[in-house]
Amino acid sequence: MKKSIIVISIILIVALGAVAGMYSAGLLSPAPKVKVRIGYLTGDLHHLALHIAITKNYFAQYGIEYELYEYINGPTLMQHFVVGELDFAYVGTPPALTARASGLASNATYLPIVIGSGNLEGSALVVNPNIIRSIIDLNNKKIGTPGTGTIQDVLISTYAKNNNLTITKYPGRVSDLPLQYGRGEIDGFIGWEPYPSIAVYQSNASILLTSHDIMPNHQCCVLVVSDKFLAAHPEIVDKVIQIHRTAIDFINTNPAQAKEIAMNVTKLPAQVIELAFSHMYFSKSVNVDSIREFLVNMIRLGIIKNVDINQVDSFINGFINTKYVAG
Amino acid sequence: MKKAILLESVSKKYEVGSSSLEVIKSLTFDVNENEFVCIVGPSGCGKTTLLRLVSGLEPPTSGRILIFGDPPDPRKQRFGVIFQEDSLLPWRTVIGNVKFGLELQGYKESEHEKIARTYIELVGLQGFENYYPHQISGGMKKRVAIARALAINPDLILMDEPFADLDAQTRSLMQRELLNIWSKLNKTVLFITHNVEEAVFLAQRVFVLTKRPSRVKQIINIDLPYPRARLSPPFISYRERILTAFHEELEGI
Amino acid sequence: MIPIKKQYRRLRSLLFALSSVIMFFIFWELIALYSPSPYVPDPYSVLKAFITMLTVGDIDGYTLTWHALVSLERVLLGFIVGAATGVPIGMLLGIKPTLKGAVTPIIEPLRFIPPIAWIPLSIVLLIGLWRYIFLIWIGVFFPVLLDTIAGVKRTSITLIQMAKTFGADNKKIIARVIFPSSLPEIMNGLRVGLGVGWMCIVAAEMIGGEPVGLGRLILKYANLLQIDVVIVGMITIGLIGLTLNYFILLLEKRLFKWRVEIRA
Repeated sequence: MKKSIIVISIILIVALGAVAGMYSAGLLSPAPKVKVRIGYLTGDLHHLALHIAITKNYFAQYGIEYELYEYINGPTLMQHFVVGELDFAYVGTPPALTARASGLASNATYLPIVIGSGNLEGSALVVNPNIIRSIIDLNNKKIGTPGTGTIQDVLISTYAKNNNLTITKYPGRVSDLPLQYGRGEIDGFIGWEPYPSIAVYQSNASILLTSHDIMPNHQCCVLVVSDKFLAAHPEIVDKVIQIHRTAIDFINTNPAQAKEIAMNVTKLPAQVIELAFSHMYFSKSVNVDSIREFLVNMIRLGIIKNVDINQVDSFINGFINTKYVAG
Repeated sequence: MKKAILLESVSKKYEVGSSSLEVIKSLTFDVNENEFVCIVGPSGCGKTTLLRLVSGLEPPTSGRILIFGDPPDPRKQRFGVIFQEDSLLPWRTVIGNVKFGLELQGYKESEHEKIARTYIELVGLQGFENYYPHQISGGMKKRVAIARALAINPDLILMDEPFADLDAQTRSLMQRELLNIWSKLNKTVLFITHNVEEAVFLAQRVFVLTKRPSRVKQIINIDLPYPRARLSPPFISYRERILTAFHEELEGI
Repeated sequence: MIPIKKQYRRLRSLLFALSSVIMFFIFWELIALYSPSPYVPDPYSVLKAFITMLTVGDIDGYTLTWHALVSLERVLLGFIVGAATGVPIGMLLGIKPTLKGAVTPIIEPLRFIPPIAWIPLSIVLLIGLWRYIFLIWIGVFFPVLLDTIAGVKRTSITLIQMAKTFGADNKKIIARVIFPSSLPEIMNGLRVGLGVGWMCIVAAEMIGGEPVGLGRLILKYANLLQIDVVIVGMITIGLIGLTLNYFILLLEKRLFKWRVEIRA
């Protein structure tokens, strides 16, 4: 009696194991459709191309299923990216560089590869005009940033270093920065659009510097894909790039409609969106020189430690996929 | 001469929800100065309530209580109360506990040490001044409580079954020492017990209370010289008399 | 002199403790060695990062000591406010059961809201240091309050009556009987509260604001994907929490000699 129970249970377990094995090997079900996982940042207008593609149903037109994941800043997004939780991401150049540098040594990481340009410029330093009237007044002031290692953090750190300024950075959630500014907790902040424009209209902040002033024409956000996804599904990557480029074209040919979509996404008034748009450029080509400059600056600032200054060119070559992105 | 304790038709009722519980009903008795009186009664007869009334912790519902002619008030009179339960402050040493009453009674701080040591010696605890209560025995704790009560030079000593929790040997030792102290200090003592033998051994007069609501059932004068022999025929006959009265009450419960 | 048997037992438990620590590090080293992820640093690189953080400081130039001191300052301020409110209110509610009954419907649900859940509200309502103090206060207040109430309730009625028969008024009864009698529970609440507060500060610092504090240090380096420094921050938090707890235990041992000492 007991023996038969043992025998039956062994048979059951083996059978279950076999079914599970076949299932996982794809023998029992048709190859499941790939759902691409796309990361983006909270309220970031730099990712307008993504929102256009969603609103205009481009993904469906290309037969791509997708899931969206939102993060509070680029570095946080990249923490999830490198361990394989995302396939694509709209993210600032510096966090993508940091993530690639940190993961280069290992096969286990999912390294970002640039396959598209999100936008150029698009960040601004807004300050309290009663306290800070000129660059020199920035000394010893509390300046909010969206977090260590974000493009805004790198921009302001580089700027401070080049101009011998001492700035106390107050890292925080980007969506909290206008609020903290409004209550006088910080003397100003650098953030991605539309947050600087929000502070201008809500709290009478004034724009001291745009990122154009800090680094003209700099690459800001990029569209990255993980190296492993690119190797496994090049055809899907092709389609996503086409979707992205179509969306960028749409923004540049239909600015009025693009702004309307931006207003719908952010629920912000037209004047804020208008001001934010005046700081952003949506370009299909990537500014490789500025990416190289970011990398050099980040090595100098100590943000990236495991890339030597004379490895910069080979690093950039691996980082940007020239098949998709004209240099 | 004013009576040390005088109760005139004292009643005490407690309101329990909508019903009321009458614990003591028109209780009348008096205690002379320097007298040693024991009160015996069945358990639950309101002995402890009586002590709370006499020490002024609670007012009676009706009737009046006078302590040397004044209503009881621990802020005006000095009561040395000894409880059945352990009443030592566990965070204070022996001497710290004895000083407690002195502090509350407003003795000059410079006097505390000397007075406390005197009474610690009186109860035979010299050498244990700096022990904490958990380090000493149950009998020693009672001595500390007695020393603390005596240290404030009380007008009245009120004892609520103080030796009930002690083992038989320690109890009889404590009884003898209590009598010694009483004869030395000449204090009025109201001693509550349900132990008839203890009452006969200690008291000049024994009041037997009825069951609830309590009244005085019988007052018995113990005309025996101290120290009393527990096995002497008159002692036994007193004990029998009180026990008889006591048992009549017990059977009624 | 300590008996030999006791000495032997002590030595043995010390050896056990030591070997478990060594085992832990070996385990860690093995995980680091065989993990395919570059984000599992080994003990040695964490030690290196620890020394760098102590001597050179972080990416913004703040040393580890500074981060720790700032976090400690915030916790201690919140702790003081928590103790200064929790103990008296707890005493009051313990002494007045009707008042306690009246406020229980407010306090009971509130105490199940963790400090972390208050963060968004605190960002909107409070600025800088006050925000931290408030969040720590939330963590400290409720354990202290509840333990103080429990301590007051556990005060022996006999002791209170005893004090009354000596003519003590309410103020004296509270100061000389109820408070010292509740002190062990109060200290326990303070110890638990400090622990909770210390754990909250890290989360509160991660939200944003000043660039210093151990929580911020961890977040900075998590953002830079330099996990060795993240672990430095974690270890520092653990060690400081342990030390704080140890000091309160030491204080309890001194204060409550009357409780723990064995019969002489």
